[in-house]
Amino acid sequence: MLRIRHLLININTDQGVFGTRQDFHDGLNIIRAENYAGKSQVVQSIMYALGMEGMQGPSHAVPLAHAMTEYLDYYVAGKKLNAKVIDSMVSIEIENGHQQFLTVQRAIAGERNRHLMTVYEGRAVTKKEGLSTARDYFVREGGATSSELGFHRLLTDFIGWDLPMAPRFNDIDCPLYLETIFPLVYVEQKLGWGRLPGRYPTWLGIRDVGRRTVEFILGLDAYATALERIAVQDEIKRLRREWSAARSQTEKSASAVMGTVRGLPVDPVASWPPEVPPTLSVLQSAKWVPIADHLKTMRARYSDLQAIEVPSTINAEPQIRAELSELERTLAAQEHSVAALYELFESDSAEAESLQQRIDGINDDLRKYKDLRKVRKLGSNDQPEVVSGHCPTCHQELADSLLDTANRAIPMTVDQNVSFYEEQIQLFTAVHSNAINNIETAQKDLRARRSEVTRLRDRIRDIRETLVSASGSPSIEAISERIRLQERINRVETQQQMFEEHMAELAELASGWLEVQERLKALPKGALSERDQKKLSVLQDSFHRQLTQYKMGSLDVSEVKISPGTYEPEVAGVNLSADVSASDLIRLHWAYLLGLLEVGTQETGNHPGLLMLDEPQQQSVEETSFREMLRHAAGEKNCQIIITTSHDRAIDSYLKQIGVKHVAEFGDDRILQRLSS
Amino acid sequence: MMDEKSLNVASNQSFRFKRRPMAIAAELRPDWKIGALLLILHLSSRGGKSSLRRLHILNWALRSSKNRAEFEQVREHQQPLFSFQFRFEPALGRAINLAVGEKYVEWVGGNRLQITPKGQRWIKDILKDESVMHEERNFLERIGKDITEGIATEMIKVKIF
Repeated sequence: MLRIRHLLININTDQGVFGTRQDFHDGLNIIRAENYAGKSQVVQSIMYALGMEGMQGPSHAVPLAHAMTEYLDYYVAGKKLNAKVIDSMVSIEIENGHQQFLTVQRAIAGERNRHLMTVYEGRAVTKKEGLSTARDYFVREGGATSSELGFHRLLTDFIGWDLPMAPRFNDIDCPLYLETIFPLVYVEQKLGWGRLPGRYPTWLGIRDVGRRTVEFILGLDAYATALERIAVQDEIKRLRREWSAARSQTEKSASAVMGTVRGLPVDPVASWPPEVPPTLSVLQSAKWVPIADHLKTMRARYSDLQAIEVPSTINAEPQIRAELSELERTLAAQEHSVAALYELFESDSAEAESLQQRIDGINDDLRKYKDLRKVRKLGSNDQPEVVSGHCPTCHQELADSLLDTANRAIPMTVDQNVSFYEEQIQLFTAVHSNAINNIETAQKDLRARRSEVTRLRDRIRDIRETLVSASGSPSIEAISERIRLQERINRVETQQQMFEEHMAELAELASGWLEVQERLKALPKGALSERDQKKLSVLQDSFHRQLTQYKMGSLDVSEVKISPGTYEPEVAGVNLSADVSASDLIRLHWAYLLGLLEVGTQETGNHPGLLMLDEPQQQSVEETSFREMLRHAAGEKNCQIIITTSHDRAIDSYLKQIGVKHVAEFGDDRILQRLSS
Repeated sequence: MMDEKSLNVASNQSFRFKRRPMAIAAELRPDWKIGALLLILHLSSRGGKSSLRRLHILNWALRSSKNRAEFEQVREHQQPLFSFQFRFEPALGRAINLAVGEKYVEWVGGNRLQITPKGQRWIKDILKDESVMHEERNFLERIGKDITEGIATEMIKVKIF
């Protein structure tokens, strides 16, 4: 919340001190004076004291009249005199929602740096409070909104705002600068009324500046929702990526022991472990067994071997001879199955390749059909007649095809053909990915079986070597079996451990997946949350009520909607700024700003509750409309509205009648007057 | 042997066959082929004029990415002329007849086909959308008007003799 409490303009001239003092109150404040009296200077100097002139453009020139910067006209006994400005400054006292006060002082003319604001904690002008707390802050320079000593940072904190970050066109994100928010708070007389809903500064380069500002003022969730949506999508992408990385790592560690992983979901899942937990299996005697069982078998065999002494060749002979013939039989069988498997693999690969060609072919044809559809939709004047089913020469019926016309088959329509192809692609893609799957499985199987063949051959070689060695020497096969077994146990153990680690990683990813799915579910369906929609409908209701009250003429009130995309008033098919009468544009402007004030000052809104309208009676809006607007503004609660007007003095009694207590009536006087001599 | 009862159909019920519409390649739609023909005349033929055999060669080249690649290899002399094995596509003949009927093209001097102003207008309308016939267009723009009647004759000679 922000309230202006007191304004002091102080101008030192060679003819003494001039200036003005104004108190401001809650509710409607009216400043009435004749033209040229300096009303605009009052509101404009409040904006200047808030360092807000950047909302009108990037210029660093002081946006105040010459009366405050160079020379000042004044009258003595009807005679016009001229005073030269030596220096001048503006001070305002502002209040926030916690009954805290700040006094801000800024130089207008003179020696003092105009980018410096002196800030006192308290009401330094009217109550001489906090005079010892003076501290300088800067404005209109880089960091005014973010740096410790930036005045806009101080003001933001004082109002109690938490400014959202806004994306820019060619730059990194920046906070939604106060200069972009204040066009909804202050309407300047000369240019401010020309455009609905406001003249947002474009020089700050903020994208969708109007939308961001209204979202902030009304406290809509839309922007946060949009950000959250992007964040959720990024997170989903990350999890998918990491999931597939973990998956391929798992496959890799499996293939290090010629194993295969089963039951590992291709896409991330939310519940871990899956109902059929993933297993790492290895080939053992031509059968796939879980790695743990395999380890157990190997360890048992190893401890059996450890228990007996290494036999001598002669002792081992009868047994290993028997084993040798058994091994040779197994080897033959295994080699046979490897060959069969290889054949299968080859044929699957060929099938996959031809399917791929088929898919590519259909895809190319589909592309052509889509082009054709575009061409036909284009409906050029010079389009061929044959498309309509007639021969261009004899005008007899002609099929939409270049196939031999003796064959009277009717071709599909283009649309039918497109959907036919799309179905075909779906079907073939499914068959293709199935084939790819088969190929991968066959590859793993092949690898595992080949490695088993190698093991068998090693063992056979060991036995043969043993059989030809000296009969007294220790059996070579017995020793090498021990060594090989030990080595294999080590390797399998390592990979089993790695597999467990990968499973733990997948479990973690699964819990991340669960979380992100919940976040996704919590997002509203469209861009707007339910709360947002409610706010916008309240805004639209108030808007409609006011427009009826203000008697808008050139449009049917019910046709004007608050756009859910831009949050600005819109009428379907009408450019409001161009097609609406100038006076109705002013009515729309009033209604929109007051509507934003009403909705934005509700609990979850960020409207500062301050609205300053400089000469709102523009474009000769009818008297009754203006009076209705004043009545409406007088009825607003929890806010401060400052309106300047040069309406004739007859308005004073009307203001009294509608209960406006705070009217500064200047009669024919100038607002900037001699303060003391 | 099939016995009537084994068909399991009541004898008073008659069979009805309905001809289903048939899927055909986009290539075989008249406007696609006419479009391709006009594209060749518009982008890759001097004076919008070409002989029939040259049209057949370029039409074949245009048909698929494989054909396009082979054609370009021949053109860049990475492969001898005869290695581009093309076929006369009957559909092109029909498309040309239709295009003549539509007054998109006309025969000049008895053996050359030339694009007419109407044909120009239609093809330009089509080309306004840059995505339409994108690959075909890129290919023809790349080869430009370099394939002369002479080269076309060479390609056919090798093929025939």
